[in-house]
Amino acid sequence: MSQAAVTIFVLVLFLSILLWISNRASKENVATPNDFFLAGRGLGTIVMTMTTGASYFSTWTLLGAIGSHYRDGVWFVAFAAWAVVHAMFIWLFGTRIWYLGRKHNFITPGDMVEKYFNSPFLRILFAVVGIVGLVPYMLIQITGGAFALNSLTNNEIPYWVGVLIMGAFVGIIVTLSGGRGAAWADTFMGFFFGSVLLLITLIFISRAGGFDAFKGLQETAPQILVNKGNFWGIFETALGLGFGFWIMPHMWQKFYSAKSPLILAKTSIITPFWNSWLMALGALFIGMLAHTPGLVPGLSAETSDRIIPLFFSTYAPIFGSIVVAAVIAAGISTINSALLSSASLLVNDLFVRFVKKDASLEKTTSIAKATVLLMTVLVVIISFIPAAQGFLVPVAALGYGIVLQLVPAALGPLFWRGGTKAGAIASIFVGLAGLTFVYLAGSPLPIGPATTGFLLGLAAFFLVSLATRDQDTKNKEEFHTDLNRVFYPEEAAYNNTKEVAS
Amino acid sequence: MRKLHAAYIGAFFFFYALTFLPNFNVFNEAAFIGFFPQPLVWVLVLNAINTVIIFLVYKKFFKPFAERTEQEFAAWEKGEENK
Repeated sequence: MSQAAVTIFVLVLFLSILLWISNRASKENVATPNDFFLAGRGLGTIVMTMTTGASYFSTWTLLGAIGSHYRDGVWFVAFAAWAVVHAMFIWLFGTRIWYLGRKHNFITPGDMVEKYFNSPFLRILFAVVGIVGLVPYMLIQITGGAFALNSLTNNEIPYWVGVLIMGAFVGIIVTLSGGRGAAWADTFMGFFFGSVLLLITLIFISRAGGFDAFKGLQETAPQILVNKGNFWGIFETALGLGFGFWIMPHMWQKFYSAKSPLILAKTSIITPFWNSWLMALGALFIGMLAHTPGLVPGLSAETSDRIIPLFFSTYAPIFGSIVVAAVIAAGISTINSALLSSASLLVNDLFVRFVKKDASLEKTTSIAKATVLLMTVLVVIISFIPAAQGFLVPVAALGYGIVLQLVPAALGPLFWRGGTKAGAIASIFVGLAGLTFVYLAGSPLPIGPATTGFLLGLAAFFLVSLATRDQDTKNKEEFHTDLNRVFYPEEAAYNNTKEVAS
Repeated sequence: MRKLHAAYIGAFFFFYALTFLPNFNVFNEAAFIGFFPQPLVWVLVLNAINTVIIFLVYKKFFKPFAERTEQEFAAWEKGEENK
């Protein structure tokens, strides 16, 4: 049997399991946006942990991060460090998003900012920027999976066939099963690609010389054993991919989906092990040890995003098919949530809010399903553009960098009651303008586009907020009074006593 | 409580900031500590410390918050049912 035939057989088996899971999930679905997008706000600890991890980690982890470690060595260990920060972000941001989402029945980030700032325009900004940022991220899932298929089968499965397989399948399962199906499928796929990554890591360590594997690199690739010293370069990536864990719309909505805050709490203590100690360090070991002479034949910097498929196409094609299924699992488990999220932004934040306000829940869900299919077709079309087929981490970082510009405005409802509507709007425009300018024209400073936009956006949010005042502050007061009460109960009780006494 | 919380969060991000030191050639020698190169060991040690802080934050702040909030929502839902 040829490699292509084996790969197709394994893929069909794998995709059939996914389809079965999605079908089972769809039987529990209720035709409401709350259920379709947020799985009825009922996710438990295991599913929540796996779906946040699987939605965040994608082909850029199993392919791109490994390639980055190959090219940049220990410099990219920052990935393992920011992956621990994710756990802290669940506490700092995830809890607040969950609380406000549950209390006010929010479905999208736009729901929250519109209510808080009393600004429909901010809802539109959050929706548009969110969708634009999600597109590159969805794109790399399709291109990464298609490249992996192509590499493993030595071009027997062309890139375009891989793109169509990924696109068709994702479109079908997301339309069929919605948020619940995505979460269930993520759990299966997360365990699957996590186990495969662990196994590949052990294989690489063993083949590269066991405990002395890194010492073996001293002669062949000494440059990757020390940090190459591009602080602003890694800071740019860390900022986007670190904050992206909560500000990306599909991740934000994961927090809405948790059944209770205790689920989030448990997720936070599992996260460092899953995100950093397993996923990030696994990618580091594989990427760096790939420099071991003869370990990955035919490897070069240009093909470094395909280390795993290249390795297995040489040594163990059958197992390689399973690995490609794992890569595709990582891609699907991310793009499904991103597709759902982009559909929710389009339907909930734009169409239903401004065009068809009287749409029934069933009608809204049907429109959402059609939107998922349309978005899938759009991403598939873009994936044929040569510019969309670059290295995975930079393309992913671009998507994260765009959405990063929403962080200052989001700090208003979550933390800073001093933030005003004008400040929030200014921060987004200034941030995006800064990002675009530096991206296109470059900068005399060493700071990258996303960081420039972020810092300028923060400054704009702060300064404009100090200079302006909101007319209606009722919702703002309610948000922050609630948050203070649940986060600092002693302080709230003391303040109440003081008020009564006076 | 707020100060204690700020101390934990401050410590966490302080240790996280230290992970960038090898970019400035601090703890970035071409030497090995055990099986790993020095800059990698540096980041792994700091990651281990921060993992412990995550557990402390869970125990001291996150879990109590979660239990409090669950009670609040349970009471609120009960009130809604009784209406």
